[in-house]
Amino acid sequence: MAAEQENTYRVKKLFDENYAALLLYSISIVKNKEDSEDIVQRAFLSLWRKMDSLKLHTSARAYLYKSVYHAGLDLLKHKKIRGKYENEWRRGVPIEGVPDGEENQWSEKVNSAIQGLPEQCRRIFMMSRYDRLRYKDIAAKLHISEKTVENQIVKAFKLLRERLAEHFPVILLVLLFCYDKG
Amino acid sequence: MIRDNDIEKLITKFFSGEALPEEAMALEDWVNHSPANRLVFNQYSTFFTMPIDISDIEKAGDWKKISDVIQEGKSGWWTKLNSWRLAGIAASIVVIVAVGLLARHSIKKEDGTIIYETGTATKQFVFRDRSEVTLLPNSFLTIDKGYGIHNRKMKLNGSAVFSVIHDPKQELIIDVGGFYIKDIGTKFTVVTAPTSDTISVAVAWGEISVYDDFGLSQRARAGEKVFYSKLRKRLLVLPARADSAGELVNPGPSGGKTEKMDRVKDKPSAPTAAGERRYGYPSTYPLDRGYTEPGKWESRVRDSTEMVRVVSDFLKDGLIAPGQPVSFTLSDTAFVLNGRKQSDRVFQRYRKKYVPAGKAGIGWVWSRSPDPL
Repeated sequence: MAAEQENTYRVKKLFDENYAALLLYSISIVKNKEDSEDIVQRAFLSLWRKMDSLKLHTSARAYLYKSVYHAGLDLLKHKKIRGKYENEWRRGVPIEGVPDGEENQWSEKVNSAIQGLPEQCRRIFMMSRYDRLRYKDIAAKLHISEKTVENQIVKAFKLLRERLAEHFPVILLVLLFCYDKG
Repeated sequence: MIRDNDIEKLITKFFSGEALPEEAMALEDWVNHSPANRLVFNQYSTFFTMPIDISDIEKAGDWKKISDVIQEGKSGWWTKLNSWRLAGIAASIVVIVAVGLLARHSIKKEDGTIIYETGTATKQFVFRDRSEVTLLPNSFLTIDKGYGIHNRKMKLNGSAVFSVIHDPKQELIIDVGGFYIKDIGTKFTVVTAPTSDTISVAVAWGEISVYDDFGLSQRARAGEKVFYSKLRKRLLVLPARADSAGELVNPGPSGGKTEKMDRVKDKPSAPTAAGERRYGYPSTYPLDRGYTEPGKWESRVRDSTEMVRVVSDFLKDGLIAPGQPVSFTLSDTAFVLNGRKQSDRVFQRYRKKYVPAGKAGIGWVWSRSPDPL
């Protein structure tokens, strides 16, 4: 019993230290908060169950990240989540407590900056941002290498950041506490 | 420590959902390193309308869900687990956890699951039901502990050659990422590649049926090849050809019985008169016509993995585009790809990697047909 309590204490400590970051990582993969909460909680439960039987070859944190990563990919693959949430992401994530005007203003600025991207760069960025396609899927559709896709998206980010630089201080105040409510 | 010029790429990968666990951890460390780093991270997040702030997460509530399950104990755990919306994830996590933790070993047992893993070398496994699997490099095969007794289900991540003893009471089913292959007394090869969404199956002898989660199904007999595109959800069976069926796999000396395969040896087959070697490739990439060298099953398995590496390198280096037909000659004197002689820098790099030292005149001549899908 003491060992079980010790395990629970250790998992709780890991939870406090890593839960938020793992949740964000999961959201980056599956694009949905509710699914991400399930995935991350399961990762912690899995860790708790294995505390006694497993000799971790890697750190518990790495274990959790890997669990989340693979569970996220598995969810995308088997639930076809990309199609399910595509429309949700096209609409954008709702931002609670933010006046519509400010949110729209930012969206307009971003969209305007996106339209100003070089054609190939814009196309790839839009496929990633709106269609939620992975690099390999974009590469297959456009008959280009994954490396090219990655480079084009990095380029898009750089250009957008440069072009929107003067707006960031205000915009961040708006977005800092936004959240996907599922 | 992440270098400055890598950070933009890393952040982009993260918000594109492409970051590997190691990269995500490195990024988290970088973000926490300073407020300035967090600011940059937040700026990028806005382009993807990502929820960026993590300070308002209801940790207490989320921890309670976990602690409730813990308190309920093992039986409660499974009851609750099954009631959760994403119950299907659990098995995957178990498998993945085992893969992640036991990466240094080829066979691991964990929670009723056995994972067979290859590193850079091909490995062969013989199971309780006498079925044999030659697992190609960088592949995983997952089976249940009760395999051969209670079930005959396998999960393949990667590529492998299967030589299966058929049991009508207990058919062997292989899950290849949602695409399923069911044996009907068979020897066949399954190949997936990280650079392609296409799964290919070459049937050596016997018969298989294949199907996916979306209602597609087909049967394939000896000599036939199955192509399945996960992305396009297309399934195609190419009929046996007199000049190609024998190229993919040999029926074996037993002629209808399971061919026993020795452990794959790293020895090359005899060079041709022209001083070049022709290699078969039992996969998405059909062989050159006219290749009929018999009895080289072992080297073909080895060669096919080598070919995956070579073509993967071509794609990675941008020498070819995905889906593009490929033919190339690589020897210790020249590297010609799709009729174009490659630069000395590229040639030297590939020569060093793929043409063994002291093996003058050895190289590849190989061609690939366009993707039939």
